[in-house]
Amino acid sequence: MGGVLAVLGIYRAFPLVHGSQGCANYVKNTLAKHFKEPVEIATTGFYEISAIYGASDIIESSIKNILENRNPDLIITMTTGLSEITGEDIQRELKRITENIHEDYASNNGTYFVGVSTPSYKGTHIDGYNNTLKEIIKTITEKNKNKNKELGKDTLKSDKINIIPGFVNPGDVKEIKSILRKMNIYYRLLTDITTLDRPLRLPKERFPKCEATVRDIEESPNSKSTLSFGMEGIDGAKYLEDLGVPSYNLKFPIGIENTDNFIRTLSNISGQEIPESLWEDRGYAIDAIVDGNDVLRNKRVAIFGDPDKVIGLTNFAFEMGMEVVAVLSNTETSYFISEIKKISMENNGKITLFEGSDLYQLHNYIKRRPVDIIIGDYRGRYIANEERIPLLRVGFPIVDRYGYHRKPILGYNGALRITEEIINLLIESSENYENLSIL
Amino acid sequence: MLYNTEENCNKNILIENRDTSKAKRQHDIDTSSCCKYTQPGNSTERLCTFHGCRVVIGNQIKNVVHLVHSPIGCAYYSWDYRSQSYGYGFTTGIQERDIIFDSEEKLYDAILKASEEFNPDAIFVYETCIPGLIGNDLQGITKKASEEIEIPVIYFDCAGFKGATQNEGHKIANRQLFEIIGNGKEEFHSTPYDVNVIGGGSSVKEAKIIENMLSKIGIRVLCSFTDNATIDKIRVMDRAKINIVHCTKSSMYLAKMMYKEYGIPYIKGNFFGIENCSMSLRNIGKALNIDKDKIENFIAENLERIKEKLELYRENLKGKRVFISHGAQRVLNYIDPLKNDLNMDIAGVATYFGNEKNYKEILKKIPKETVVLDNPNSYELERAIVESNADVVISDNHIRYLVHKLGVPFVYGRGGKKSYIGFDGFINFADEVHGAINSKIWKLLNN
Repeated sequence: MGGVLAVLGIYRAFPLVHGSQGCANYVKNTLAKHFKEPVEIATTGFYEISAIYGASDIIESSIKNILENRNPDLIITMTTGLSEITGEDIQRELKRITENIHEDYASNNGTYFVGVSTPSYKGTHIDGYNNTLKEIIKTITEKNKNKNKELGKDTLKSDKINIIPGFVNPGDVKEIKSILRKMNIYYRLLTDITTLDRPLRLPKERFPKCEATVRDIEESPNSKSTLSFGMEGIDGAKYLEDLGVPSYNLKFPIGIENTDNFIRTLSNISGQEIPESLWEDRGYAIDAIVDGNDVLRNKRVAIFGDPDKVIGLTNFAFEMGMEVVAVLSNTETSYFISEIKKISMENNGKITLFEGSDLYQLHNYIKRRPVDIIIGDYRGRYIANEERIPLLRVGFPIVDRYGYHRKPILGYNGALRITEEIINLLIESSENYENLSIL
Repeated sequence: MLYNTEENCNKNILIENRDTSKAKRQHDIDTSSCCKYTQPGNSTERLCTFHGCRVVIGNQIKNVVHLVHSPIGCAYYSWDYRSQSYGYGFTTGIQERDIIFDSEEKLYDAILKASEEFNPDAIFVYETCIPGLIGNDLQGITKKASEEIEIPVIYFDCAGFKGATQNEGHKIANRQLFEIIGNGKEEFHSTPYDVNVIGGGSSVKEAKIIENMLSKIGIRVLCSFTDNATIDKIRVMDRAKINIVHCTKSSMYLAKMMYKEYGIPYIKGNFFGIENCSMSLRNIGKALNIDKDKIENFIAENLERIKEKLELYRENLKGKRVFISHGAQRVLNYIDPLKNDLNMDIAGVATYFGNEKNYKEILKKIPKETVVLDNPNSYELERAIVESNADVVISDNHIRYLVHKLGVPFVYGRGGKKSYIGFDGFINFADEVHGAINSKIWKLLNN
């Protein structure tokens, strides 16, 4: 899933899932339901026969099929638990196939072929995003280095900053872009998932547009520096660092403090002043938090989701005067535990930490110690409905409501939106129309 | 506007239904190549064997722990694939270390723990690709666990790579669930008007509508398999006088097995559409020797109630072109009502896993120029919808957004909030189609 999302965030890139038909279709279905956009994911159609006799021929014909039908700039083959367990080496297979294909399709030299190992039994979607992006950057920059050597061309260093947005929504990427533009910073987005939030204009685009292109990745080693958030995309940033691009790993700009830090870092790297318009945005967000203080303060919150976003949201909830009582991360990391413990200590809070566990356990906890609001993706609705607690929908997936992929959680505007929604949800849940009297 | 056969010879546009001198005529179109493996590299709408077993059939059975022996992915995505399904999703969450050190123990523990915590009627264990490939002895574990916890623990050998389509999964689910039938309690009182509805609608709601409709003409439904099924209901299925098979694709095997074992005859029933519904009621009545007048009165009553609305829709939808993309059975069920009850034209048909017989039936029902796609990829589907000048597309939710991006109205063929089954259901359906086509927004698209 994470791998596919990284691929879909690159213009003219095509994901190929090497596994059973269900492996591709399940991911496609979930993405389509969340983003309300058409999603194309190819399958290699792994059947019993491939499990016995090997699957290199189906990868080869898959790639040929995609080249003929779609002719993308980049084809990324991702493995699944099924194909991985047959003991096949995707990199070696792909190398052989690529050589064959370049002979067959002499005119097609432009397309890059990337293979990534993304079996479902290893890590979660966050790891998938991280690994896939790293492999894409690695394959493309390596090939490109050779190409440039042959041409005897020395590429020029540029003032651009590489940004790896992570596993986020189109609304978040738009918010990052808007901050960068306000600061007059030139950037290369290494994935731009606004491909999954396109306006409806006829005729339909062949490939949905976005600002992250294969060319951007080719030139990413020439950038001034790389920014990445949390563990989402950190490996790609580290790889570029080895190529001489200094990298900065920040927390997701969720809430006031973390956004301040993000903007300050951008200002330091680029030498650009922080513009008046951003101070204004910050003022609006703080104004909303202050105005809603009597609703927000002391409210008990449970937060679940991807570790880095949970860390950011936990910090932000304390900024708003709320009390985070339980957090749950879907991905196991030791760093998550230490970060949450740190936030807990700083705020003198006692956060109950669920790690690598499920919502059933969180539900049991909430039954014993009720909370005022839950923050997480749509799966929290089962707890919310049963316990009659409001749920603030953030993150991925949100399949039961519309428009949430457009709403940011990052930046001051994301902070403003979250604040307003939490305040309104809390007010709505405390209102009781039955007892209202008109007279 | 139609496809060039040579260009598409191995791209799964296997059937070409056109009437030019060069192409094959309708009666000798080759349908033998359909329902085969997916062309590698296609962005197919098909799903795997595991899906057919777990989501289409197994998941609907209530008060059962559906334990998926898989890494987290298979369990998670299948859990909320159909938004109607509710309840906890269970998985053994296979990790890398479990592959190396054996996950059999983990599964056994999971079964015991789930049984203790949730007290279900039964536990269903679904095999997925990884245990399927490793060759875990799931049969042995489930048997051992069943003896330990004293409730049925049923094992489905439905690894995703096993069949060409999810249809294989239906077979596996039918075969395993067949084993439960016939262990009902002794004190069960049967009546001469007991039936089973096999492969009913697609939700509990639809199953209840069918049950309700049949009860009005004096028929008792023992089990709606599996939309409104529980373990106890499945157990007494052998006491029925006939089986009514709604979706022949997913459940014909069960009907045939029950005929062989218990001698229960089966008839096809289709409650979608006015004509279909009336015809099915008459057939069922005949099979159970129910008074003819009773059934005719019931049908007339219903027709009278919806007459006015139906006329309006027939008028307004006349000649509108509809493109259907669904499983083969649903396509077959929908063509006649759209054509005859609503006066619409069929612009095109696509199915994910129809077999030769299904396609022959479809071809009989549609005009010769119509495009028929077998297991299309997104690109082929896109082209077919645009080129067939469809006024509306009826399909599953996963192509909704593709259709919308093409600027074409879309109707979810299974019925979301509203049900499309029965007489009133068909009016709901017509209302949806009518509303979708006549929304003002489509007129604003081209500016």
